[in-house]
Amino acid sequence: MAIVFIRTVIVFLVLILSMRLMGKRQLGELELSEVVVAVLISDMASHPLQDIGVPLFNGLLPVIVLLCCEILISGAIVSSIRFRALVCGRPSILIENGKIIQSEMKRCRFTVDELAEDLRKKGITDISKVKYAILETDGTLSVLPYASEKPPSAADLKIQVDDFSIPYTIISSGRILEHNLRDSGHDIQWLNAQLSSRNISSPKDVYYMTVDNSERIYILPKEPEK
Amino acid sequence: MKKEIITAVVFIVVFALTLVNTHALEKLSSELLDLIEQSRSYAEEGDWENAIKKALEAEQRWNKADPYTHIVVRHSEIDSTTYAFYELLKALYSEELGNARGAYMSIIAHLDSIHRMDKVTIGSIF
Repeated sequence: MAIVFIRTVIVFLVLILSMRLMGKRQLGELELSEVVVAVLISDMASHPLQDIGVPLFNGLLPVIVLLCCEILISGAIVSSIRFRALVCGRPSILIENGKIIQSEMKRCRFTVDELAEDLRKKGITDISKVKYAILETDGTLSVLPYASEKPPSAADLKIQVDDFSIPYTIISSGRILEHNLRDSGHDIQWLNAQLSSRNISSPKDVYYMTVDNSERIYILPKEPEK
Repeated sequence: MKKEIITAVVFIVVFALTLVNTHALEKLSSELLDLIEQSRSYAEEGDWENAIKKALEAEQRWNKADPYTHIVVRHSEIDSTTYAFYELLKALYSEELGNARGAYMSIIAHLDSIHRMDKVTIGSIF
């Protein structure tokens, strides 16, 4: 068991190091330690399930050790900037003022085709219109166009628009979500009044209902059963 | 920070428990090896009755530890060690020194491997 413990810690650290050296592009929206844990846990836990000759502890112990490693590493990442840079790396600027930084592209092992693909996904076809493109530590590309290339906002156009609020789900599949009803500042009497004004006899007949802070109500009645 | 402290404590406790387990396995196998060695001495002297008595004592001690060993030792290792015990007893009951010598070597190798398998060394880790 002690060997399993030590081996798990070693494999965890070696994988962190190797994936760190592989670069950001291998990650894809997960933090480095999360990727390593995800890669390892799924395989380790399955061994005692498949082979009843292996004690369950042989599968559980590495999972516990990995969980501890992940929490400790994330804790260290949050509390130390230096450690964060060491484990997660730093964001890399791939385009600055419309110009591709070739040395940075090479360092990140990012090809022009991949960069162009990521830019196209964000609706940009002309690199010269990009002020900054930054490869984040989780492997995603953030693209910041020149101010002149950005779509104007309501504030730029000096247009008065209503602020939006997240609607509360009041009824879901015929069930009243009382906590949401209370949070929205309404009660059951109000709900019944709203339903009867729309010729709906019971909340059970509603598939989905929401209300936002501006009292905008959305009601979708249930389809009749065939 | 509280979460990290609890995790660090769990981490250390789990590691300590694994070391306790290694020590417990070492103790069990050395106890058994001791009994087997005593049995072998009796067998070499032709005292089959005492050789069987010591071998049975070791076999009972091994079986008594079964609930524990099943949790921490690979089941295939447990089975092969149990078979090695029965092979030894078979040789002792038939009072054949040649067979008994081979059976002693087999059971000693099995018990030694159970202990060595969990012993923390550079070789066992890598």
